[in-house]
Amino acid sequence: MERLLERLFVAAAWLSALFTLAVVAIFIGFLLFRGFGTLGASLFFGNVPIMEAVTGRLPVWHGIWPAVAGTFFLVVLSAAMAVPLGLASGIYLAEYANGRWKSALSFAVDLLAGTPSIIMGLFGFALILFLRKTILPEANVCLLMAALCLALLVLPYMVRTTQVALEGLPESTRIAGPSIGFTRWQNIQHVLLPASTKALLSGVILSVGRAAEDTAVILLTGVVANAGLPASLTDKFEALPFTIYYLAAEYRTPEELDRGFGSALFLLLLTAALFVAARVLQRAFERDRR
Amino acid sequence: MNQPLSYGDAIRIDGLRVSFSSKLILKDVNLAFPARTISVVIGRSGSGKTTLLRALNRLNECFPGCETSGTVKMQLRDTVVDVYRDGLPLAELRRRVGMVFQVPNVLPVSIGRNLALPLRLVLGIDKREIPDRIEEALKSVHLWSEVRDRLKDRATTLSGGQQQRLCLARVLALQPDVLLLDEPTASLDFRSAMKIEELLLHLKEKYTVIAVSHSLSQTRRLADVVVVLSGGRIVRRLSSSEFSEHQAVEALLEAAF
Repeated sequence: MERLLERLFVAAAWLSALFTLAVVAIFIGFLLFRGFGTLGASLFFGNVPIMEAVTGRLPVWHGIWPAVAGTFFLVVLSAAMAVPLGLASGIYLAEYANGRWKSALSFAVDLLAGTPSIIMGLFGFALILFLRKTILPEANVCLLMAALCLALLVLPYMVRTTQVALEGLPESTRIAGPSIGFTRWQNIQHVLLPASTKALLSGVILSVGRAAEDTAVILLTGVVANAGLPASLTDKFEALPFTIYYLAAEYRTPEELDRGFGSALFLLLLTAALFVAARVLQRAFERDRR
Repeated sequence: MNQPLSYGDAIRIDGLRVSFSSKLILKDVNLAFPARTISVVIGRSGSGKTTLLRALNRLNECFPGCETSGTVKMQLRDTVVDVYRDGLPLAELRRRVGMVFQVPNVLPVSIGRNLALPLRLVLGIDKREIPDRIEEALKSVHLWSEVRDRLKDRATTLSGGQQQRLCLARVLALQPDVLLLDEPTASLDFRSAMKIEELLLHLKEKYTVIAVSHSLSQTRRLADVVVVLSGGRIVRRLSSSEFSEHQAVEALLEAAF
């Protein structure tokens, strides 16, 4: 009886693994099938010459280039806000906070992590209205506002991974620094953080990936179809996930729908490239530390 | 306020009690360690050996719920310091009372930086002087010839024995007065362990060495003084001459292993 149960369990485990693999394979296969044909200069720039499009001298109406650029700026901006703040909060939670204060802060981070992104978008929208009525009458939905709300959305990922990475270090690593006379901060800076670069980088990737794919937040804080390249931080912008949503929901020709699949494929490739870049960065970082 | 310690003693512990989250680990320890000798602390697992060692460089305080009372007086260079009262900065105390652990804990950086970092951060050594100091420290543990060409390799690429000698070099580079060794050879193979033991016999000419050991034969080879801990109390303190007597060893075996 027990042997039978064990066999069933092993079989179930194998099946689950196969199922996961199959889902991913079908998903990627379908995207490739529908979208691969569209990958090319015209997907990005429509019929505008590449140089003119990239430099923004001519607007691109029938390509996803403005959305790619918008997503890029959005991700860089929100990462620039969320990563340092998240690192710092994570370090604080793991190394300095204790007792009731720590559990209160942890609860706040959990709460933030559990906030649906549409709520974050509404928060941004409300914030803009508030600013308009008070100190900043000219406030409007824009790139900066969207990046800020995205930063709030991904902040808890960064905080948690940092905290977990630091707290998960073995005791022998934790006391190496203090035992040779390092101060608390020297220990964090020169022992604990370098010992957890891998985990910290995966936190960054997770955050960036999340920021790149979220649609609900930017929907309410500044993304607009056909906004073109963002001219400034206070300008409206396009973004890939919104473009995909928009093309899928409101396509008028089969070609437009194909462009949607192409965009989705590109977003996937972009995320994959991010993973690779993070690995390379990590390697370079480790070499640098020698 | 600080009377000198009795002649020949480097450390004097009085009424030391250490507890973690209200669980008493060390119960009223009174003990002296003589200068420039190797004192070996033995006892069963959980008898408080490591806690006793960590009470000397106040490393217990890195762990939650730790409370310490009693006095630990220590001869550091020309002055006698009351470790828990005189306000000696923690970093300074831990530099002067170096510690090597059971499992080698090299920093997650290169071999060279393992020495350069503490030299620069703790001693404030000038950058130009650091290569010489590194060489000196590695030579003192007979590691220089083995690693001189690979100082930029990660320290974790070294063998266990080499890592442990690197840890010892790191401690020695900081010019300590006292060395604390928490079962320094427990994770090593026989040859590596012998190398470390040779080093220790040599080092006791300059430093006061206090080691925890789990091996009776090692204790016999190294110890000038043997201290037996049991249930958080000192139950025996023997000199090496007493220790070599057959009966005493029998009694020790009974008490500590």
